[in-house]
Amino acid sequence: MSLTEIVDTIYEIILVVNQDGDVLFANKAAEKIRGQTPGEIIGKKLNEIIVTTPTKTGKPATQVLTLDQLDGLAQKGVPLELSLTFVAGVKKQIECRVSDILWEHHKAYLLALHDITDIRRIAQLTAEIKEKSRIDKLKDEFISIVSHEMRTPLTIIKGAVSNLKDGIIGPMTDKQLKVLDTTNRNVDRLARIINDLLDLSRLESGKAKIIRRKTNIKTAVDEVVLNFQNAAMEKNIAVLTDIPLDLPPVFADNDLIHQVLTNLVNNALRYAKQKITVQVVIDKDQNVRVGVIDDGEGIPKDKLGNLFNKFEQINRPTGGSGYKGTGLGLAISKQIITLHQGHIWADSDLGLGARFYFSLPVYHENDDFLVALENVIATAEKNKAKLSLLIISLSNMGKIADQSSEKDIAWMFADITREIRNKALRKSDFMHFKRDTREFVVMLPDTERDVAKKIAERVHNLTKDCFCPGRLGKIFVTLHIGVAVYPDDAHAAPQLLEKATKDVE
Amino acid sequence: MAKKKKVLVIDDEGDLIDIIKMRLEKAGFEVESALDGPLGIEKTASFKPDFILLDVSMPGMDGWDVCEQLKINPVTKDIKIIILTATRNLKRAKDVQADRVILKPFNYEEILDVLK
Repeated sequence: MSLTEIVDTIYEIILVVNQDGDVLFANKAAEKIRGQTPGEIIGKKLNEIIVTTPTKTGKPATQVLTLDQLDGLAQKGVPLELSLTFVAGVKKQIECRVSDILWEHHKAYLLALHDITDIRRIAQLTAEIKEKSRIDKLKDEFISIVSHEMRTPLTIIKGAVSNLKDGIIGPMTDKQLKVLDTTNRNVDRLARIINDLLDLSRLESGKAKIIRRKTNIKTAVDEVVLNFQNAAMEKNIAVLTDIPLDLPPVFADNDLIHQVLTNLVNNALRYAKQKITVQVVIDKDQNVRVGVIDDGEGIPKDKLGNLFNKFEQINRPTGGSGYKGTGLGLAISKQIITLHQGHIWADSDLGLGARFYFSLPVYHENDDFLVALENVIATAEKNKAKLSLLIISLSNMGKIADQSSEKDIAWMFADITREIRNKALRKSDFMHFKRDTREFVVMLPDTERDVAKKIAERVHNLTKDCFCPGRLGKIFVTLHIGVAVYPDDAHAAPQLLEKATKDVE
Repeated sequence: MAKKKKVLVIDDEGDLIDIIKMRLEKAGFEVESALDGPLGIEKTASFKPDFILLDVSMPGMDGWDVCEQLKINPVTKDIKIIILTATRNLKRAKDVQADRVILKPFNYEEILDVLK
């Protein structure tokens, strides 16, 4: 490969310009500028090739890259950033570096033009994203502060109204009482909006704490339906439930699921004519799906998608002085269900009522443990500390299972757990038995790999001298231990577990 | 007639004090008030209330601090302190030995129930 070929292969544009501004050399990449070949470029003036608007300076734009500038750039050795318009109107950000050279015994300038359009674009996007999350944070803070500040005056108004209503100040006429009732109802409504806004902003910002546990959906549905029985009876509406007996538990925050159900049933109650059904099924993906079905007017298909937006209220019953919604219930419900890795959606046929559904993943033995692990990881992240994970499995589990009853095995695991906890672990360590894989998982907060390995060795030594736990008699337990360390090996709980499991093998 | 029970309301919201006062006086209590923590502690010494309704968020010395001070003082430790708060920090309430917590926004029935 000749030197010219090499220079022509380079992605950067290379130009040589003499002190009069004539182009003496251009590589192939220079075609990108005006669509002219190097042959066409050579002999032209630099200011015919590069028409620029220097950026950064903020001074009035000069239209050309002047010869004076070239000299200065070459002396200082710093790059100049240019905004250029290439052939076909393509806008480019170019970094231009200039060096003094000798070209056929005369002083000349070597210009290397490097395309930094993508780099600048990424920087700009990053800045935009940062700005957006800053604004989101400000918005959350704003809502939170405003809501809190609004509560105090509301409390005062409510108190004042109830002093009047209850005749503390003096007797009230019926008309006066009616006005006070209206006032009171709307103060309550405003309070609901504030509470909902606060809930929503907490959920959206991730500040809301969700505490997921093994939860029985049937109990939640029954409780919520019971809460609405009186209100439904007043409106002559029947609230029915249709729940299979063998429903598996879900992994959910009971209070939040209550809130979602309350929202949906409350909505249905406003639109239903005679009947609301809360139906629970196991769907084809083995999730628990809850449906709240009413026999009201229904919702036009084209409005279904917007339902879960903030302040979206369609077909809102007009007039009347009854209970009014906040327009935030479904947005809150959606946030809650999304936080549970579930789905929420609506379906309706005009005239045939509306059906609101949400589905939640079924509870697995491991769910609690994964959440615990996530929490420990979050703490480690916050404290910028390490976290080691041990996975301890029984290498001769097959043999043990062949020779022992389930009950004996359960005893054995209980014994091993106690033994390891008491003799090998420190106070701050957590140990968990994973039933599905029959492994022990040990979380070692604030622990580096070498220390974790020492602890693993301690566990190993326990089984060395005659460790035949429980009623298994002669069988010796042999352990295999795998180690993984946060954040070195993985950041998220499932990956960290996987790493440690691989280490066992 | 039995002697009137005495209630001290400590809150930086004068308006709120006014309406609570109206209500409690009507219900037969003798009511005094203070607009901040230090004044509240002074008033406690002179007024010797049976109950204190104590707001948490006050500028300067907050309700938790007021409660803690009153509860470590042998003279005032037996006065029943009812904390009024919008935040559900029940652990803090326990730490400062508050007798009851009423969440804002509250209704009077709740307060009157507690005072009985």
